[in-house]
Amino acid sequence: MPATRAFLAASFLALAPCARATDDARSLLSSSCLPCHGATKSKAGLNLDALDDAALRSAPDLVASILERLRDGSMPPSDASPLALEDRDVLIAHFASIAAARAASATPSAGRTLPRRMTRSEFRYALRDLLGVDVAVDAIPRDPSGGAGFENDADTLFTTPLLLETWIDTAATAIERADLATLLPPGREAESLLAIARRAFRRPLAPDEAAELVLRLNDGAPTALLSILASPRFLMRIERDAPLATPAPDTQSSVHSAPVDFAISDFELAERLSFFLWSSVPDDALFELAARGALREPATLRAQVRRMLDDPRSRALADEFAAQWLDLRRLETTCEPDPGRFPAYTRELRGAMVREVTDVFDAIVREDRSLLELLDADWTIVSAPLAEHYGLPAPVGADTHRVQLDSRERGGILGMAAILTLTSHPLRTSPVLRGKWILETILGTPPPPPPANAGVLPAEEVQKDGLSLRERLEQHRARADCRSCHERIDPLGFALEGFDPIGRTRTKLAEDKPVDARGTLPDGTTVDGIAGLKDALLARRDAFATQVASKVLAYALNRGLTRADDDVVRDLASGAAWTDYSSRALIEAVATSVPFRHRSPPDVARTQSTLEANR
Amino acid sequence: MSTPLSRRTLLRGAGAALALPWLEAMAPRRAHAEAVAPPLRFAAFYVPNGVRADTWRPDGVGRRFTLSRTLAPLEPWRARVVIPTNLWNARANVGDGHYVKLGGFLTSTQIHQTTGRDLNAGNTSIDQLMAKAVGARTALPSMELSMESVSTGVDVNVSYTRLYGSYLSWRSPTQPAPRETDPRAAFQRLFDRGSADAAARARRKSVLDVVAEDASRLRSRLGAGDRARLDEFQEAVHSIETRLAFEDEHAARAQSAPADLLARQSELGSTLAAHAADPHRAGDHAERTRLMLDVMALAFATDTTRVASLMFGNEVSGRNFAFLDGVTTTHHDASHHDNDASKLEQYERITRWHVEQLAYFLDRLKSFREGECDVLDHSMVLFGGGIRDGNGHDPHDLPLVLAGGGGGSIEGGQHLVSPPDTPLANLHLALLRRMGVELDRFADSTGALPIG
Repeated sequence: MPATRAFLAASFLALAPCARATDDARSLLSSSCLPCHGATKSKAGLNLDALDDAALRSAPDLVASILERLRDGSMPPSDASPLALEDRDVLIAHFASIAAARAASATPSAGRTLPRRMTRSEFRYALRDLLGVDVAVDAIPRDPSGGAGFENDADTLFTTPLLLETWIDTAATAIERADLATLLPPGREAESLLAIARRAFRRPLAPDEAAELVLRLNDGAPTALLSILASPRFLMRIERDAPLATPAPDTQSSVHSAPVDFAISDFELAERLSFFLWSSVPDDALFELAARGALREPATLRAQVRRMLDDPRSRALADEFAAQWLDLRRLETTCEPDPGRFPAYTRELRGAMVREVTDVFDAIVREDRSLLELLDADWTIVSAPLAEHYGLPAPVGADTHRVQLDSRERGGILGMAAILTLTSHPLRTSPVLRGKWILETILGTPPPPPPANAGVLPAEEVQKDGLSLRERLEQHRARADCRSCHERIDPLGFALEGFDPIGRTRTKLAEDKPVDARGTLPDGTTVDGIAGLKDALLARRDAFATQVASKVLAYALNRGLTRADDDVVRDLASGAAWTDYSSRALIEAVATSVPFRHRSPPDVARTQSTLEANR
Repeated sequence: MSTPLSRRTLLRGAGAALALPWLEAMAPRRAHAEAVAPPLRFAAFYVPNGVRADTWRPDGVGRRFTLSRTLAPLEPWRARVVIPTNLWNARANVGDGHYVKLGGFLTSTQIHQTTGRDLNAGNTSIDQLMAKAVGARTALPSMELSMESVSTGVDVNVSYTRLYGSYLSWRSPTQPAPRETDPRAAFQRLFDRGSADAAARARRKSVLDVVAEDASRLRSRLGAGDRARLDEFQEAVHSIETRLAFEDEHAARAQSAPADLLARQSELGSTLAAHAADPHRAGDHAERTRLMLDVMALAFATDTTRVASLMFGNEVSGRNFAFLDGVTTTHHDASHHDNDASKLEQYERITRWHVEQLAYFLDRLKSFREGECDVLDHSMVLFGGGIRDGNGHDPHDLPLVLAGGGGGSIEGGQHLVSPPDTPLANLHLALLRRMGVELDRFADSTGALPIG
């Protein structure tokens, strides 16, 4: 088991395969690290000579910081003799395996999130589910996103006067449009109002609370409803420290259950589930199970996840989770292809591009397809403007339709125009942005920062000096301090050069130069065009699975992940491999994971965040 | 006249509230000192990505100076601008190239390096301090605007959350102020507030009562660490209540608005509606920026708010400026010019375009008469950025322009050269004091900059 873990960790952490043995690591250690961090000289108080693997295992913070310095390229420092990329990967794999092996002695913590307000999208979906009206939420300011890149991150969900004001106005508009006679049928107003309040507040009402709400009906139904929808009991998601039910011993996973963490209540679990899978409030079925205390039963929990994924409301996973993970929001905000150069890029086309990504993601979850189909598939889903953009036959009648693809140009997110556009500059494609996006978003191995004097590439494809982008990047790579990263970034991006800045296929660049989509990855694999890139990424499916698992977990928990979550992520990723990357199996595994069902008490969480801060 | 007039009135026939300009007779008698002078306004404009440095600095010092090529659009405003030279924020000379520079521009502090957790600017920004001092006297305490949506995610290159690149104004050290990015929405927020009928207003007020009570009940059940979020919520409730009370108080003494202001407001409303309806124009950066400046100027003229900030773009903005003659590139790209002549030329054009926007705003303010003067005479407009030359992210000698008369407290027409590396906080302190924020010191200030 530890061997599997070490292997997974190694393939996650380094792009180049790390098959070399620990002996290699030992000799690299003595040639590259010990001169400064050994018995003779112990810079920063670090003497690696005195620390064997066992000693390192019991110093996880130290190992983490060594890994961080190796990964971000700050060790060895620039005034020391440089370390070849492959050698660096060997060292990283070595320390990563030590970090992985410490799991048994470590105490994982379920973590803790601050009380948080709803996001703009959640507010909209909740109004839809409570009142049956879908109102525009444009008046409400856009939500920023936190460390993991998701809007639902509790750390960045501030409440301001402008927000509260626009919430109240939007809720009032929704109430005006709602069919009050159906919502609160004559003769049963009080009972119906209380049912709405229970769902809105995601918990049973206290008797005095219920009495107060019923009294408010005297001011009219709209006022009574608004007092529910403007209340922090609805708008704020707050979990209690004193669990309503006694902390149950965890029967699911004896390895991870930590005595300090407590199980959240069934109502809180229902709420986490519905906000995870629907971005909205729980429905009656969840509420009833929670009321009976049955939701925490593993079999029931799994059955509910399956039911909720079948429900149309799980579309929110595509429109919120996938859209935010893959950066699609940028198409609506800062990403702007030059309108003079690309008149074909209209709002309609942009909408169709986004729709392809979310439709395909939704289909993968709804039909329980493999997550690997995000990397490569022989089908996609297009609407008319996108079919035209791709040169595919236009759909007849239907809004969107599924097409079977003959070539490997499209199919999988890398061949989707949305992704190809948001990783381009306004006037040209950017192999660097595309490569970096793949490393960061798909493989979860972002390249370290460029040195301060790295320079910037020109805005246009061909500059006055006649150098092409490829030639310019090759010049750049001649510099030793640039090479190690661009060796990783550039070939991935160049493989997509067959697509222009708005994702159309092309065979010629500006000034009629032919497209050259060849490249060599750091491990020696040669890639030519998108088909080769897909194969290369499929070969790194473990890294991809780890990345998807950590993103889904962060989204589900409404927080950025810390080192305390590493083991859970690793288990989720290896679970994904055993289930042939089933999308639903991963979602179920997240929903039944320890951190999803538990919460750390305040002091433990504080210790944890102090640990993080000191890293 | 025995009762002071209201500054604000409800035009029920038009179904819209119009804020009145300041008139001497409207000042409440108790605020006698204020009744003598029209109110002072403060606007901050932020230019991301630095400026072309070698064509910024004016020739000559003090009152005898010639504006540089980049600052040439300010020639008509020469007598009303101060060009402060040699100021910097020492605490921004670390960290990364962009986020630290913006984060400290109105705070004179250093943002805390974080990827999302523990967001902290280290200070409340000067515009927000001013809003706390004078905000209760207007319908909106302040207004935060930007021409670009919030950038999200983490800039892994430098391990800062991109949020830092999107916020100029900080309500508190840990809470950035959300910005409005759509000119029409900004207009509606300023001027369409009173349209709700009396019943709707009453309903909103009663809802706020309930909400406030809910929030304090919820808060009392939480642990200390979790309470901050409910405090934030309560503060939001309180601030809306204050504003509604303000509107009521002034609506009760309704007067009719001057016809010319009313006409300008409704004209701008129609222009914005037409602009929003035309998909080809909606994305036009130059036009959107002008409209936003129109909205800001009207907000000052009508005394709907006295404090505003506008970001022309987020830091590291990759906005395409090919709409300018002679520019074929994006802002961030041009800023890393490597001393290439063509890039420098484009960088200068982009910088000058921003200066032209300032000139336009000054012209708008001047177009509103106020007693014997105009609104520009009673404004302080700070324009600039936290980076000198974008190529090396240089934070020394920040590019700054201070415009407006400051109610007679600012002496225009000077190139104010301070000793090298004088704290930017000295300028902050000078501005804060003029706005009635009495501080001995602000951040690392060593004294108030002599702008008067």
